[in-house]
Amino acid sequence: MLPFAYTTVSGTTNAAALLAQAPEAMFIAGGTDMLQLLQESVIAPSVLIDINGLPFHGITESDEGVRIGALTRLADIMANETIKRQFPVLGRALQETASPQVRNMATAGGNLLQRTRCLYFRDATVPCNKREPGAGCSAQDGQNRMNAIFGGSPDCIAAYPGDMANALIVLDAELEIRSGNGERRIKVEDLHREPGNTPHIETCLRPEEIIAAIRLPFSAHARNSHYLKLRDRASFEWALVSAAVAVEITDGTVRAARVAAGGVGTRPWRLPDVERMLLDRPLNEAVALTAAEASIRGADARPGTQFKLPLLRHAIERALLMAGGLQ
Amino acid sequence: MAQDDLDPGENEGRIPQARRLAEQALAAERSGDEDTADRLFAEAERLDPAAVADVLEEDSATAAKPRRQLRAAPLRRAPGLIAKSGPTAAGLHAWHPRGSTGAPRTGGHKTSFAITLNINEQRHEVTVDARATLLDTLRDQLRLTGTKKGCALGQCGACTVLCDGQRVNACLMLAVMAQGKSILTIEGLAGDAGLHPMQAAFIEHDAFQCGYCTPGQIMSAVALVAEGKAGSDEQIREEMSGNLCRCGAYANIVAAIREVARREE
Repeated sequence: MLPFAYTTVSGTTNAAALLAQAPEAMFIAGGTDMLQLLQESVIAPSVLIDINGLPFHGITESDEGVRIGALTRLADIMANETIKRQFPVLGRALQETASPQVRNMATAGGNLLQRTRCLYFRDATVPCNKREPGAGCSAQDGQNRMNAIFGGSPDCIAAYPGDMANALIVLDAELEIRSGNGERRIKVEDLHREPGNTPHIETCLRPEEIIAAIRLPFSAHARNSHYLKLRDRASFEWALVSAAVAVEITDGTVRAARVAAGGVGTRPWRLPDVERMLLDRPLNEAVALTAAEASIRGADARPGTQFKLPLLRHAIERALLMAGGLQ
Repeated sequence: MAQDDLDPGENEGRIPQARRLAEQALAAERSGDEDTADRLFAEAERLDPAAVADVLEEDSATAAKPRRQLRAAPLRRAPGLIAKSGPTAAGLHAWHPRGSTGAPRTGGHKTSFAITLNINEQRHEVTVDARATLLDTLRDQLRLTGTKKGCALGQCGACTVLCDGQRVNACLMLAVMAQGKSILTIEGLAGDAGLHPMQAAFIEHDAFQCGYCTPGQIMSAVALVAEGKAGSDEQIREEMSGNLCRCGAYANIVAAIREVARREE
């Protein structure tokens, strides 16, 4: 680990100003991914700015929905009764995230911004465009079993590894983004970028911006939402493929549908083709099967990721059956 | 891929490795171990002389002592690589050692801290580097070696301690960020009356073989029971998923936790 300085802040403006003074500074909150990246010399910040003193803690409820402060720990979100009842896909996704220890430390905002688990990004001794722009991508013809089948480029096929973001997308969640200049709102769906030829730029956040909160609107499809995660071992493992679905069914017909997948995209991956196959139809076995077949349209699988095509289809189908009360 | 298989001219990834070696060399030099320092510096210079120069420059900026002379060796980097190691347009280059102004990269912020840690209900005054994890501080500075270092990446759970009553991985927490928290380690678990019930149950059920993961398993198990999450064997296994045991004593670990949970009902 290279030397770095450490400092704390208590206001957003201060945090933004500090970051502006030291461009190689980084924010630290829960630290669960940060410490791994430091230990492996994947990153080398000049200063770590501890933002735990910012007033972004806790979960509040209104008539419209729920607001989750970005510094709220994953364990606290998972345990919240309103979240479990109104947004089951989120509770389930968090239950299947990391380990109890990590969930006690990791924050909501940090979880969204976690870095990829691509083997070559995490190994500082081999080329990686995301870590070192222009160095080359070792994953294209390397061990890419954990890599993406959607949204890749010749420069990067690293998969976005998280669970929570997939759940937030099917819940129409928004982010409050703060900086020294005020606040703006974006959809969680618009946070992450595809790599293109700048894989080191992963989100639409500007350097001095901080995620302050996640906003979840109540809805009928949110209440009927499900998460299914498939992985190499039963627990404490990254997704090979995961499916997040939220479906509103009224009088036997699908009125609203949101479907996203994890473990397959260079960013959390929404599946609009699947959603279209569901709308205005009854959600039965035949419809679930046909809709799930649309999930792999446009996929670009390598020999190492070929297995994700049938896995994704089956995961989407099963998650839809769960949403339809058929499984 | 073994590192020796790589052509240095095509591998910029050697720069961080060189920096790491130079760091270790500096540390060895400070502790008076010249032989190790020489060996590590030579190795680092072989990989990337420029990175070694950067490390020495940073060191002399803070240490106010004569700068160690680079003994090296003509630049062995291939043409083309040097241009790449400048800052990128996005300013996100991971390995540029200084800010664009050439000022020390820590921008005047502190790298060393005199802190007070509350561990097992005792106050400990320690001076730590910003980089020091709670785990390394417990083991190396406070000699509380019951907390074990396994992966140092949050994946094995051997370093599990309780922080304000919640289990955490001590390897993923900076010591400087543990100020103001109440830390409980395996050393603080037994009371005047003897072993904690979980410790006794682990012995009774033979819930370990080599014992290296055991302190972490026990701390995690204590928290799990307190959280009321030991409702079934299935739930215990899920809730203990952050603690790995390479000896495979899982069946007996579950039995020990089940027994303590049942007694506390």
